[in-house]
Amino acid sequence: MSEELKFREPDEVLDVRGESCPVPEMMASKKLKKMKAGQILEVLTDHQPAVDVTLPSLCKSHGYPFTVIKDGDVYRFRILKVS
Amino acid sequence: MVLQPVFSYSWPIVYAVFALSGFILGWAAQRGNYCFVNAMTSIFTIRSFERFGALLLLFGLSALGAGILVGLGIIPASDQYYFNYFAGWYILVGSFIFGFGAALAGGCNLSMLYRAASGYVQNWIELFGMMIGTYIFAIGIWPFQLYTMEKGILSTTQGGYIEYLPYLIFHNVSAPSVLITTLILSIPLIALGIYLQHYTKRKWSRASASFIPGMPIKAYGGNLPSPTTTQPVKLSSEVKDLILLRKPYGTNLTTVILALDMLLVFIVGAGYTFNYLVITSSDGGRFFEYILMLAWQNLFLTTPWFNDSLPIVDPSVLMVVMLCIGAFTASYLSGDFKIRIPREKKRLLIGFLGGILVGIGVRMALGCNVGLMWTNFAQLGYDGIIFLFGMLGGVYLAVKVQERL
Amino acid sequence: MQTAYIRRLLAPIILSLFAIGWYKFSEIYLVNSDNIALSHGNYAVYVTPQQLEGYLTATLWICYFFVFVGLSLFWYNLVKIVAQLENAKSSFGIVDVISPIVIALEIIALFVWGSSIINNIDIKLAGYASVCSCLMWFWYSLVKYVRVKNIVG
Repeated sequence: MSEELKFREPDEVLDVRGESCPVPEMMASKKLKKMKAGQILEVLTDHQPAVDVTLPSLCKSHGYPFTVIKDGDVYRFRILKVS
Repeated sequence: MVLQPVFSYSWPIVYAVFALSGFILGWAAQRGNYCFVNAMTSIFTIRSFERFGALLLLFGLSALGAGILVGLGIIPASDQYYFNYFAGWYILVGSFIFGFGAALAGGCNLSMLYRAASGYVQNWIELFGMMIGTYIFAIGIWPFQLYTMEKGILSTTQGGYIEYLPYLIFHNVSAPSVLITTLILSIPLIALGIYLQHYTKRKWSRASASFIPGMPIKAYGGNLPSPTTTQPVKLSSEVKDLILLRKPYGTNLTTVILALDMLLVFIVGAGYTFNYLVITSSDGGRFFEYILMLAWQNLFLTTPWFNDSLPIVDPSVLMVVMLCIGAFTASYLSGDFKIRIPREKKRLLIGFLGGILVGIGVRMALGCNVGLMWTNFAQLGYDGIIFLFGMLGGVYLAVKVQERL
Repeated sequence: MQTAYIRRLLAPIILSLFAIGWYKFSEIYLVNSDNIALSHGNYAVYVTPQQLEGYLTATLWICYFFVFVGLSLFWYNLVKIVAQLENAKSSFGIVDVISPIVIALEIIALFVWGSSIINNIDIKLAGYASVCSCLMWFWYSLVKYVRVKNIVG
């Protein structure tokens, strides 16, 4: 599952660079609602607290697996929407 | 009634201590990513009460600390209630508008400042919008609001001990009445705060435990500890990481630091000035006035509210300036400082409009989440409770609006 | 990488300039506005001289402190960046280490002996900044001297 999250191309990309909480998790939550089960959402963010706290909390509240890939200054936060 | 200094030191010391407290506030809030708005939006977006629980802890600890200091006779009761606000319709309406605007713009007054100092352009725009909102309030709303305050139309006509909970409950401000009221107010807040945090953590543990067995743990969470990996963390290495800015501060650690910071100014400022943490008189009101002073325009000569509510300078000015510097220093030394511009440019417009609403809301409510809500719990008043519910309502509406934008 | 270097060097300089700018603004504009408030009889806005002096004194202390902090951060990061960028060995002697200390002492002597003439706060701030710069230059030189000695030795 973690390999799938890391290597599969994401189905949707949400770019919230430059934004701070609560925007990343609100936008991610909105996007996830429109996606189908089995799809991967990649959230691009440079806001550390979103990566450390709020996006993981969003995933935990729904039971979605996630992984974080650091790409320079940007974090690629990948969420797998499961049914 | 005239304020009498409790401890004897000169004005430079008072200003320097308020500056230090602002620095601590900015530093700790930046390291802990402490945001009152985020604590409330989390309830509605991800059903997490963890940060909201931390807020209640903060209010409870501030009330407990200030109340004990007064109850033990170290600080006179008059220094606790002297600056109590008038209660009225404007606190509920103002806090609602504030909550709505702050959630739209992306930060409460505290987080707006520390994020602006960390390079978030969105929050610079919000700050500018707040200054405009303050001016709009001053010319459009304050004359009417002042009229209702003077005439007692859905408003009290006096602050001070009239809104002091020990006086309301026991009709006196003796040490026992202050102590009992302190315990009545602070213990339930602290207990509720701890309960909400544990409730949320238990919910997350149940959610991760109900995952399909055999699934690799790291598929669930990147670098975060999962329920089955319980490696104890050495305290000394944890402390070292915090001091070297390798790790952010936890929410509860930040809560304790902020509560102690509030008590610092409560003690040092007693009898000299408004002895609580306050932000918006300076960032929304004075800074706008100062910008116009550069063009040799003095708003206090011509503009309502500026001409009767805002001394040229007070200790909160240095507090706010040092809040920004503290946040900047923390973000710079931790490598977090960067100029960040939102990808979606409409977010800047939303931030500006949100900032205007923040400016109007905080002035109507006679203060913001720090200067009114949090402070009023330490003052053993009830305006903070009104503000809390108003702000929750505003934040809820903003979350619903954001979902549709 | 380049923008990161510029950020690390510029930000502390801006901090120092902001500290100086804030103090100068307070000294000129706030004092003037306070006098205007007094002349118009606006006592809700007017601040007593003791309080205003207290504010200015505290602001001056803070200004000095953050000028020092800003310059220190600037020099520290400059040393780090130069250490990352430069690869060549160079000869480096004890004279290079001593010279910034000598210059700092010269500036201090100038201000001590000329204190009756140099009353202007702007010149004093400039002198203070120069001394701090020299101290940081000395630190950089010392680190480089020790490193070169290690490489050669």
